[in-house]
Amino acid sequence: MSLARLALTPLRLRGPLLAKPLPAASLVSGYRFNNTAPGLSGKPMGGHALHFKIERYFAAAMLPLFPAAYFVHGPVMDALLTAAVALHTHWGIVAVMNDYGRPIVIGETAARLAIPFAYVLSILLLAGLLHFNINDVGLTKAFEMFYSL
Amino acid sequence: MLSGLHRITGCIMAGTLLVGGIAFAITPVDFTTFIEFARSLNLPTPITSLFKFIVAFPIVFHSLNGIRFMGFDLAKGTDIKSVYRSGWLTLGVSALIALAIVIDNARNKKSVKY
Repeated sequence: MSLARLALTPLRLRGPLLAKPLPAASLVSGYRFNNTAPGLSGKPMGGHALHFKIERYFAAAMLPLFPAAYFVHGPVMDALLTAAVALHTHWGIVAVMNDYGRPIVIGETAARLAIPFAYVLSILLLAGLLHFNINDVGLTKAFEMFYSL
Repeated sequence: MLSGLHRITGCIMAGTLLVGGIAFAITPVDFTTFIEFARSLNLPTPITSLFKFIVAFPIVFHSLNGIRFMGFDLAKGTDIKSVYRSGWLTLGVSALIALAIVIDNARNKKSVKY
């Protein structure tokens, strides 16, 4: 089972291709970032099915937040939006990194750093949003101001 | 095409929030200064309306297309004709809603006190 072949397959289709756990490329200093590594549970896709479900349910749940945010403004709405956007975007960034940050695309070292980098971006996003809500005008107010131009 | 647009709108929105959030945190510029600078440019209404549309459209499209994709995850509407039809519908409705937001904003634009 060549690593290149494995790397070229999207994450969700890798199950049948894996006869044994992924090599060390999926471990970064002992900590597993790839929760779909099949060594984790008996299933070929690991814990991916549950993660997929949670992702979609969360996306569905945060959907009414946006029409609501059009009408209701204020710090509470800012906080809800920040929480929803930060988590949803985190999963999105990790998905994009998993799709494109592969050894065949960006090389071995960069590929190993791709997922930790995704976490860094998510943390920066959350930090930026929290700072904006606390020390600056806040998300809903910002949209109000922008749309008053 | 639309799944690409879904990903692109998601990444652009995330990128904007990321860059904006960090920039307003670490530079001496705050959001109010930024808006006042933009206001001082005295841009004509078609230009500001265009920018408002460009901000509104990704949010609306990503949300509506998100519903469409979750339908696909539930295996609804996955035959090729439905895919195309729902795709055009999502694109059209998103554009209309974003347009409605801009028009509604142009008609009763409140001057915001800050």
